[in-house]
Amino acid sequence: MTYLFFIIALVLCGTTAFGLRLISKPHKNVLLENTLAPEHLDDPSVQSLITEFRKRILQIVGTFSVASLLFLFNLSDSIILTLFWLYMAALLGTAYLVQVHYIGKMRQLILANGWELPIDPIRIDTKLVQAKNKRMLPWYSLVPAGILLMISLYQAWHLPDLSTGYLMGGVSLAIFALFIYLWVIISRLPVRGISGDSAIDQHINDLTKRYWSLLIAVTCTITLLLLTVPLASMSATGALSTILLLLFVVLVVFLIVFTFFLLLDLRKKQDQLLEPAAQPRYYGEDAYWRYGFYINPNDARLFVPDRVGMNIGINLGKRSGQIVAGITAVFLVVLMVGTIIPMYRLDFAPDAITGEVQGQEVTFDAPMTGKTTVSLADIETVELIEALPSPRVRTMGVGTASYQIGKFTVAGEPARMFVDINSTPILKVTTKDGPTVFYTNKKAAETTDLYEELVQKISSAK
Amino acid sequence: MIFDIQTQSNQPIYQQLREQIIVGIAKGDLAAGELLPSVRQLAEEIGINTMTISKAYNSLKEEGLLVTDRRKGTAVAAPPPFTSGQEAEYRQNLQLQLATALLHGKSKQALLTDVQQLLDQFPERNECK
Repeated sequence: MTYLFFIIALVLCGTTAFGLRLISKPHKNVLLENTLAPEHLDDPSVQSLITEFRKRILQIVGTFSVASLLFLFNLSDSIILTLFWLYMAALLGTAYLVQVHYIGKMRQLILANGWELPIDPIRIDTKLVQAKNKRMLPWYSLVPAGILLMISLYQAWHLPDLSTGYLMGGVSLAIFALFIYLWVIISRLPVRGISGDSAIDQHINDLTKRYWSLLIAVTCTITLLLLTVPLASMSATGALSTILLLLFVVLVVFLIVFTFFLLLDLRKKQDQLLEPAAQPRYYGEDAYWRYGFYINPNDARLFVPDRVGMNIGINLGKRSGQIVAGITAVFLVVLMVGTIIPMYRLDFAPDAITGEVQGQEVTFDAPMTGKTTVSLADIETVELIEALPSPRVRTMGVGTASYQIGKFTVAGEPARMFVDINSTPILKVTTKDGPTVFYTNKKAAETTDLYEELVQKISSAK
Repeated sequence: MIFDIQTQSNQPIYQQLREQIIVGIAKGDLAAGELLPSVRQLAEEIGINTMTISKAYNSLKEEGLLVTDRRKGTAVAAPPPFTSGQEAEYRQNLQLQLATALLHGKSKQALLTDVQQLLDQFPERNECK
């Protein structure tokens, strides 16, 4: 677990450095969010500002890489998680502030030299506009993804646990719908050529549509495949489950590498195509881009391609854009608080994991999951074990080095876990129809007490 | 054909579009029967509401310069001759333009030269009967 956070922190550092470096390389004549005439891109004053900016990136990423060693210390889960969120906020916050600072400096440089560009009229080639999607992949490129959606819905429908099934099915449907929406956004992207030459504009447009539609088709298919693999691995045991886990990791790595390479290649090719354009056009977008955000109430579009050429951004000038961004921000904060607080309870509240006999029922409870109540009459066996059986696949809940809490599949059977790994023995309760329950109180003596109470009640009932 | 749309201009976008289509047809940049981008495509291109484009297209349809086919889309029509009302309106507009130019000191000869120069941009069209 500690290694995992350390690796994620290093990957974050690498991604931040990469992202910042990318905005310091001109794309479609935009450098540090400001549009420059091609002849000014290589001006010594511009170059020295870029060198200074890149030095700052190295300093920040270097410092945070050293700070990530902190995650190698053996700290409790709640502290590690808090540190991790703080670390991420500090890294991204610092990177963003540096970016804002240097975007401002570039703007000042442009103003000081009188390099502001006149705004050109939007050039619309009627023939090009009508044929703008001819190089997009056909709609049936999404059929494999559609088939995978059907498979994952089928899997979800046949899960022993209905609520997990609904969740899985809902997530699959939402992901597919999101990709379809992205496909529509791409198909509606304007040509709005900036080269001033129809042939070049057409090449750039065709390439952009081709690459993005390919990206959507491939990433949608792989993402849905990623959803079906864990569902399949629930019932898999032994070598097959290892193969499935390996497949999952390979697919995730491929998804990330493929996306980056494709978009970087597109960016590079767009710039190569634009190079011969003698007088590239400028449509005044600088005024609407504010430190990575697009705010243009006069633009009817909700989603616009960003200026780094690697993403589609949201238009915060539109009311709907503000609502979507607001909901996303609230979701992130809730996610952050929602993961930290239960972790603190688990680490520091002595009675975080409970098992209680009340009347003819026993109820288990823990943070991050719902209560599980088992009727004493349904219990088949009660035993104390020293180690959890494997393989264990988590379907919903917490799976850290210290805790296994929530819905799991253990050795191919559905199970509910309420387990603090550092506390043994573990109480195992098998039932007639329901899932097997694994439970430990944080105090080992209380686990044994519950075991004895259950054994006594069951035997007296017989 | 190439449209140049000034988003910062005081002239409304629908008017810019309308005028450029008319001049485009007269110059022969847009041939009769040629398809124009759909209302949605043009709106996406300029980043404006579809209503603005509809306004321009509808006024041109009323004048008989465009025609919309449900399956094919909007195409350039063979313009019909002026109605008597349009004829009167055209003469009135021309009179106003000429009068304004004369008042600002243009000679009649200079005006004739201007008109000839502008007319030279347009290819000869078959006289409408």
